[in-house]
Amino acid sequence: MITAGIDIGSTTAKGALLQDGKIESVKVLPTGYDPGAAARKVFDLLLEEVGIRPGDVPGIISTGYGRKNVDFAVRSVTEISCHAAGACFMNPGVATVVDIGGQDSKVIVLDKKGRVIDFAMNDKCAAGTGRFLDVMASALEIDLARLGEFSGRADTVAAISSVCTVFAESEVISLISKGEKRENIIAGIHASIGSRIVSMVKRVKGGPPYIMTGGVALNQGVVRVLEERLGNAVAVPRTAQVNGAVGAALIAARRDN
Amino acid sequence: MSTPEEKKIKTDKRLREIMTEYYIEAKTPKEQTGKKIAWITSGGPVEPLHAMDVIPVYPENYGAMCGAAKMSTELCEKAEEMGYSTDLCSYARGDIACAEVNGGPIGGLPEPDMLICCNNICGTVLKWYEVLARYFGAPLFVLDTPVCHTGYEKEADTYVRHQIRDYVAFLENVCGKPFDYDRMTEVGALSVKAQKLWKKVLDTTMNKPAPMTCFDAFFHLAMIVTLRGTQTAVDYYEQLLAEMNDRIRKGISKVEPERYRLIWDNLPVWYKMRWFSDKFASHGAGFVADTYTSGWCGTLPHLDENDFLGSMAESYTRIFLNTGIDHMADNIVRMVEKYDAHGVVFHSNRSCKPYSFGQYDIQRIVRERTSKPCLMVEADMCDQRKFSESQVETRIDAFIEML
Amino acid sequence: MKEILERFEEIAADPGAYAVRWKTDTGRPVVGTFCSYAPEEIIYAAGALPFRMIGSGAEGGSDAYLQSYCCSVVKNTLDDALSGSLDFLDGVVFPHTCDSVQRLSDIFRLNLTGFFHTDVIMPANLGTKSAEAYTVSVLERMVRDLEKKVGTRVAKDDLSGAARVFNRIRRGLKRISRAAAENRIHIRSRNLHTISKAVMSMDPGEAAELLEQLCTFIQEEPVQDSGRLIRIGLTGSVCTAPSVYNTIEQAGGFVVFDDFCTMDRYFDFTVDESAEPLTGIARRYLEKAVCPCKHAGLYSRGERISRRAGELDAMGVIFLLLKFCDPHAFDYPYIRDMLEKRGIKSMVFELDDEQSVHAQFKTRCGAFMEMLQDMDRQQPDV
Repeated sequence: MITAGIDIGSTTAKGALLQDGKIESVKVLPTGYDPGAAARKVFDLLLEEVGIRPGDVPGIISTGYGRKNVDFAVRSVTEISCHAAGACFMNPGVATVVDIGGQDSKVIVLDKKGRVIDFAMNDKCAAGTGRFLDVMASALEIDLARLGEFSGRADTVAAISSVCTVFAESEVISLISKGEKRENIIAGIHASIGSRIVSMVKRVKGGPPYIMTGGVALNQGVVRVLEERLGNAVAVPRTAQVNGAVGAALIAARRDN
Repeated sequence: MSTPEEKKIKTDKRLREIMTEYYIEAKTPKEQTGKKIAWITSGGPVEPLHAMDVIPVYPENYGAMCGAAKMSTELCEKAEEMGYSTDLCSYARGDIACAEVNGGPIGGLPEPDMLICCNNICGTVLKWYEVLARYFGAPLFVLDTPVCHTGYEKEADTYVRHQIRDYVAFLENVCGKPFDYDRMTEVGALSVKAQKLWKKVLDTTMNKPAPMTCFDAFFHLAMIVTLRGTQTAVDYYEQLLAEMNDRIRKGISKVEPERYRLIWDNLPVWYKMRWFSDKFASHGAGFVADTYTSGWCGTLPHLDENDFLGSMAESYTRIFLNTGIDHMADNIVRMVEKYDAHGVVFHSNRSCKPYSFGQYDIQRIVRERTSKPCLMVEADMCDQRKFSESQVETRIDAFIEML
Repeated sequence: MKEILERFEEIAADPGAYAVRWKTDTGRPVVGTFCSYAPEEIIYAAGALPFRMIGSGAEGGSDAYLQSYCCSVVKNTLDDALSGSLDFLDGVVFPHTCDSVQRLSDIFRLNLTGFFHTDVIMPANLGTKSAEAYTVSVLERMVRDLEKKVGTRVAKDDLSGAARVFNRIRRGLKRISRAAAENRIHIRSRNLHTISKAVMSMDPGEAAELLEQLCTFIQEEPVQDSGRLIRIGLTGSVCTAPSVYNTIEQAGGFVVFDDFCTMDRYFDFTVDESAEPLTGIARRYLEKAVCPCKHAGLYSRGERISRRAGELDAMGVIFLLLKFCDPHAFDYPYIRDMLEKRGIKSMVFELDDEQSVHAQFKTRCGAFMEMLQDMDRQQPDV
């Protein structure tokens, strides 16, 4: 059976195509201003790569912030359930999933059967999300993708105490004007995100083994901070960014749909 | 110009000694001291505890210590992990976490035998002490002091008087001994004496230049909060008053030259006291009075030293935070006149809603009636994450330019 | 039934317009109230219409009076008053509840001088021996105060009459909400919300009458298939956004109780009609479902919410907390733990502004329902 999962996030649209429990294709595109169009485009790209037609995919589930905009999906499921399913598939036995996306961050706690038993999400403010990194990267004039590399070279962690993104940005600017090294400032930014996420993990009593998914999982600096603060390894599956889409495709394949 | 050594207040040392002894006694195992421990709110009726030989311990005072030691933020984070919202009072968050992890500069407060909560300062303490009562399982006494928006009503007086009797009965029950009314009379007299001395200390800043600033008062406040009703507090404030008068004679002040005299409203920003003090001093501005520390002698007119217990209802109900904001504004206007101040700085304190909401109106009233410039700075008394140094710095600079 | 619901909907859509009409028709004054501790019986006995002030979302410039860390209920009410949309009021009654409302009362008194102002300082500690006597004396003061300000005489019979009519309202709301939870009437939580919103600003006689008519539509048997719906309890301060209920229902939830100040806590407990009227009214305040601003033992709210969840077979409870609402935020962790111990899952959501339901709330509700569903269902290992 071939199934698809379409995950429309605030920044990127992700798609995954599965056949009999095997990932056939994954795609990532910017969401842009029209989530419905992005969803269709991702789906087309998946079909094109595998060389099949829409009619060959009986199960399509949408998820993510724009899940209601995917008109060709059979139904939509929240990204919480999808990330849980995707994480269990990639790392069977995982107990806690940390997912940091563009505008939401979440911590999902699973039982031994992979069922969600609790979850937490960031509050409305952007601290502890990908957006926070975006704002800071542009304040520091550094490419988002290179933040991890920079923080790896820090000799000390600059203190950034504010939780509010606006306050934190002004702290970063005053650190810059005081001549603090960018590497150290970035390490401070990562520490700040880390402490928000760890606080969420503790609130829902999450434990190891941990995995991290979502676009921010590609940032080694954040992963390192989480590992330090949690005192445990945090695995990043190679499908980190498309984990929600993979999970959606897996749920689409379940018998009870 | 005085030397840095001369500028130092010598009695500081004595305060540190007394507070150390106080906390050592409180933390000594109860089998050795034979005394019970009560946790009590900062505006709570402490005198009957002294009369019953109970050691009062103040989570709020400890909250200030944690804040000044920059240890609060971590404790607040711990409380948030337990499920307490980040918007709750940082004293409460810190204290709730402290109980769990024995945190802070002295590794937590000694476990309470009873909890005494008076809601004259806020409704927050009621919820906070409920959390403590569930956690420790200790008996909780609540003194409910109806807020006096426009005046002190007869029915409120009757109600609080009843509760004072309940309080005495509560203490007799928890302590297992009859209430010592003779001792109460002595303690009451000592409390009034200490409050009068505290008032005199605070009034020394009417002198130009002021011999101390409110940042000193925030520090010396510890004694009137925790030990009023004891001879120790009386002796201490006599010593402090003597030193202040001596400084006046010698013309010593904290800010030299004293170009601007300011009033502070609300609790201090404990983790940034030095920063605020230095920042203003660098412009020749010193805080000669504040609404917070004067709160501990503000109800003297309602106290009867010959019938302390009988006047407790009124004096504990009429504290400034339990009145309307127009009354609070009047108080600041009087302070501006009395201390001949050039301006007022309002700390908009995210942790303290009853103290902070209404500040915009108070500011308007003060401006209209005194024509003095006012500054509002947003911060939090203990949670460093709620403070933006660069933002506040810009505002202070602009304010000084207005003076 | 349709006509009755439409009448409630019409009033709830613009309670102010109703009040203005009432005032013109009767020539009597309208008095604004804040929260369920405002003694409506006394206002009504004095010949005035009690009007519950609930923020409409209008812009009024409350930012000039209240800092950013003030809850939206307080801010929105002030916005309404500042914007002039409450200008029809003749007075306001502020019962003492939380710190923010305490200051809101001051701000009203100093800045909104177009109507009279009365503070009713209810006790915060409901458990003392003297609380009842004190409450009665506070109510007596309120009667004298309203007599002066409204210019009427309040006789004992007026008070008993008012108590009786408000009892009818409370009984009606209680019966309907119970029947809705038991699926014995075609009314869902969002309708209930509309009904109670209308009732709180309506002529009490008309409200009681309509509710009693509505009760005749209660059936003995289930009115619809609710087998696949997930039974949810709601708790929090106030909720004025019907979209909250829609979101929960769209996610597959079926709200079986709702502990808000505008719902359960508003209509819980009736006044003892055989007691002296003010004593009866006072006792009701000491015994009704408690607001977290009040002290009534250490576990009363938690006990009540878990008992309600048990009785009504709720699978999960959603804590809908208003950002910056301290009393509820203090209670949340212990009630969550209490529910957990009894096998009831819960979820907390902080509403920034009651007027707008954040997209994230939809996701969280959806995820919560999926989680509750999965707990029941055996899921193949993946």
